Amino acid sequence: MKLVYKVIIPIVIVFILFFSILLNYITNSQEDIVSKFKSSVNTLAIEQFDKRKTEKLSTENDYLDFTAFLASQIAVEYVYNYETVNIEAPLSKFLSMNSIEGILVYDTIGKENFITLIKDESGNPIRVKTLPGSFASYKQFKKIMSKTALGEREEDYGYVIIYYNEALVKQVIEEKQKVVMGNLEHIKNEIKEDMDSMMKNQTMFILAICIVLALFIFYMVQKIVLNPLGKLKIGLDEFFLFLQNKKDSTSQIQLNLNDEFGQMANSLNENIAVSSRLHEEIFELNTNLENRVEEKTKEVKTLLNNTGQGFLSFDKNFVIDAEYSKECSKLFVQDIKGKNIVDLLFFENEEKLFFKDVILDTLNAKDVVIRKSLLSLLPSNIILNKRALKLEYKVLEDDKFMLILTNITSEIKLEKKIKKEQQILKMIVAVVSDSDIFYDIKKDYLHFMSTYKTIIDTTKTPLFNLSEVFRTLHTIKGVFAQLYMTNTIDFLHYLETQISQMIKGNSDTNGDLLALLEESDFKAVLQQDLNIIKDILGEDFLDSENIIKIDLNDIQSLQKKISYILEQKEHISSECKEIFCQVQNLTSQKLINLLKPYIKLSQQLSNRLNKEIYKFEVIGDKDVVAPEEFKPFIKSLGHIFRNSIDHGIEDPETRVLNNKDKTGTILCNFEKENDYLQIIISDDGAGIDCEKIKQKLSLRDINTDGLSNNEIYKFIFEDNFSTKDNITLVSGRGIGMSAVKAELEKINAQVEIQSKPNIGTTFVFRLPLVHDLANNSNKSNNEHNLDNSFLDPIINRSITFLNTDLGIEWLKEDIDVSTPPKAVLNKHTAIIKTIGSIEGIITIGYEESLLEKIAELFYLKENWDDEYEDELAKNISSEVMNIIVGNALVNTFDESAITFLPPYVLEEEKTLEKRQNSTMTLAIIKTQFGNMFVHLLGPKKLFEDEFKGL
Amino acid sequence: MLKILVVDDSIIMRNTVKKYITSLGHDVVAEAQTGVEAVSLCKKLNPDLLTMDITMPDMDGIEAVEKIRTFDKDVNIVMVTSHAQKEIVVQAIKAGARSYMLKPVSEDKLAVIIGDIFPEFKVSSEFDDEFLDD
Repeated sequence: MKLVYKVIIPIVIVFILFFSILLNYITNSQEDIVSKFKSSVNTLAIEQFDKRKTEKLSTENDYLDFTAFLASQIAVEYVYNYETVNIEAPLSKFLSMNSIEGILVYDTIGKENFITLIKDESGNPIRVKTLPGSFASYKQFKKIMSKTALGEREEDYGYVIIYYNEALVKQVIEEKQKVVMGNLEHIKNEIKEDMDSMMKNQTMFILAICIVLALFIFYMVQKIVLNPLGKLKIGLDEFFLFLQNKKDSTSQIQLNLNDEFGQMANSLNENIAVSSRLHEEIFELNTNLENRVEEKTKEVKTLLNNTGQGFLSFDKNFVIDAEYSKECSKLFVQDIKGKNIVDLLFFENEEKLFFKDVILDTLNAKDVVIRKSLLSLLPSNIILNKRALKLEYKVLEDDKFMLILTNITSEIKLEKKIKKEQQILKMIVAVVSDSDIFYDIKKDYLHFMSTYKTIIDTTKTPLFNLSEVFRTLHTIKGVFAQLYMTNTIDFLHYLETQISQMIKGNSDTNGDLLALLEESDFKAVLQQDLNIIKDILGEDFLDSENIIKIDLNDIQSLQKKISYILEQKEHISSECKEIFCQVQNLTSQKLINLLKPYIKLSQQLSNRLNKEIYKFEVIGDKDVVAPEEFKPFIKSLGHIFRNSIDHGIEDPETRVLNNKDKTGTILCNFEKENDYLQIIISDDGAGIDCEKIKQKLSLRDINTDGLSNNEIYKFIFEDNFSTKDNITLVSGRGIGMSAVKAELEKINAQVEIQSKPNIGTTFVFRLPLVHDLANNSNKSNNEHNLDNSFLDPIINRSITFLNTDLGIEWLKEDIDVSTPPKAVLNKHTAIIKTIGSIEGIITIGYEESLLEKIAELFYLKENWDDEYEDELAKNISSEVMNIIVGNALVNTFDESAITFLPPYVLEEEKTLEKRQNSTMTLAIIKTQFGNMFVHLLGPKKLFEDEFKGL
Repeated sequence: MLKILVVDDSIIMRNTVKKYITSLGHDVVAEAQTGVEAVSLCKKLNPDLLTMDITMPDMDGIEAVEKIRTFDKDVNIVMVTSHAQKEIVVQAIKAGARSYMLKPVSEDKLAVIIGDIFPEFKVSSEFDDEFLDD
């Protein structure tokens, strides 16, 4: 109930009670007064009346008495005079009085009623003889009639009786009294009414006053107390709602009063303001936090749900918590919240009990090592719902566990696949490195396959035969096991099992054994493994049974010997030449074998570039030998293939659009004519784009007018020429073709390019053959020059020497290789000459600083400045030359075909001009201490004059 | 340099474990062939670590662990067990063992266990979860 009412109502009630009591009291007392007054008036009135009545009556009595006297006086006269008629009139007058009812005059003398007068109904006097009976009740006033005659004594002549209706008088009086009383009553009533209405008015008035007062109080209370209170309450309510976050904002309490309420309001307002602000801050912070938490939770949840791993947690009662990653639903094929993890994972009772046991023990043990040990005993892999799952366990705080489930089904499948591939790899490695064993066991296996019938000796017991066959198969299997040929191994193992069962079962006929062997397809099983080998190593490997391995040194020494012998001879017979040729051919490679690798290369390239080509064969005479000098060129042919596949062959979609076969074709064939070797490489690709070349050339300010197509094509061999817009791993640098050209030039070969747009491109290479190998060895002095095949090993060994042997940093920029017009040889340059099949000059020189450093490191001493002398320098230079050249070239060229003369060290600088028909190559190796200079000069005899006396 | 007591009824096993222990640079303070011996040697020599075979003639490994735990709460006991004995390992751990190794024991396994129990001897292995060089 509102305070208002609580306050007002009691007050009002009190007021009302009070006033009603008051009123009541007043009313009552007034009434008392009134009734007292009334009764006293009554009494008074009645007394008065009675008094009056009595008085009147007595007065009346007196009067009547007097009247009777009078009457008597009057009557006497008449009686004296015996005037019976005239007496009537005066006596009748006496009857005019109300209460006088009758008069009787008695004559004593006559002894009779003289007259009797009564009133009739209308009140008129009438004479009667006798009085009616009713007169008995009337009062009588008797008076004696006396007369005094002259001088005589008074004589009673009779009496007069006035009959007086006292009752009537009484009645009248009483009536009057009644009237008066009635009047009194009336007055009393009036007074009462007046009083009452006065009372009422008073009451009303007071009530009104009360009400007004009450209202006033109400209003005042309301205004002074309740309103402010109410406002305070509202304000506080709002504020609290605001604090409770049920409202968004709160306002200050509007109470502009100076009294305590106002003060309260003010201090509350201050608090509201502060709290409000704080609250808002908190709210903001809170919201922020909540948002961040939500975000983080979302992130984490997203992470969790997208890891593809199942994360769940469970407590020590094995009940799974509500938060788990989405993957769990998938892995368990159900919603797992609240379920028991043990029942979900395991079906065997033993497994369940073990799991529970270990988990509880882990919880109880707080030691990290023990926990790790125990958890490692839990199953780490299970099969669930047709999936292989990896299980990982982690202990969480507050006695919970986290279980991480990872679906490793595909990994396991992959592992199996990898294992299989590893097996295959092992097989290949074994087969290649122990190829002799491989070929042998293949033979043995096939031999067994065709001869087992003869092994089974029908004269011997089945047991004997079974054991024989078992042993043989077991041995064969062992060898296949060494070679990791799994299909065959498994097959043989199966046979073994069958046979051993037969042995156990005491088979008594050879029939079963025969049947078993007959129904087994030996060939097919072996073929499975052979097919794998063939796929990887090629058909040739399987066919290479007749190939034996010979140490290259053996053959080379044979070659040297023959070469040496032939050199001595003046005249060489053709047979000798032939022998020499054949022996030479032993170490030379067949051209077709040098070209075969390009088949695989092309396939790989086309795969990488998302193009399709048919697997091609190299077509050409298998016996054609690849001359040594052609090898570098042939090695460079890779660029041509690359070019064909990258630029030439289009991607399958484009080819189809151009109505071509989706799969491209590459051809490679060669032919040996008398004078030359022809190698053809062609593709059915897009052809060389003449226009593009012309464009590129015009960018380089090269005029292409008047050039034939063929000539334009030749430009693709230029350095850094590329019509590609960007460089890929495979091509685009513009180097490849120029390398090919360089090699071509070295062997004096020609190339012809045929190309038609959208049809394809063909490269025809013509390599001139140099005849007469026997002569060649003699001519080697002129024909064979020191070339770059010398340079590379020397450079490599020099670098190794500097880097590895001495620890001098070689600045890894490109080695400067050039063909200078003259060779400037520093002081202390070491010079070495070669004689034999190649005659040339190698020089290695240094910048002084580098030589010092080398000396320092070589002899592990410092501060050479003082002791550094020419002798030492010469020694070192010479030593180094021996090391480098000796190591570098001993592998490249056999010693007896070339001989190195001892190195000679220059004492002062020397310059050599290039001679006609000579070659002069310079390689500069840069180090942090200085440069090293390697010169190759050839042929030696052209420089002979320079080195006279050395 | 830890003091290790090797307990196994097979001399081959003991020798193998001894070899690994010395190879890792620790000291084989004694060998025991039976559970009883193990208990008494442990009491006498107070080693840092015990390697304990489970199946032994007179007193099996678990019993030995229990007995040792009555007088030594701290010594680290590592059970040596073959694969099928998971439940027994749990029992052993309940009895007081701290860890276990599966047969065949290898030097690496031993190194890992020692590293777990004594962090100062932790070694990095080929398959640590950190690259040591770049």
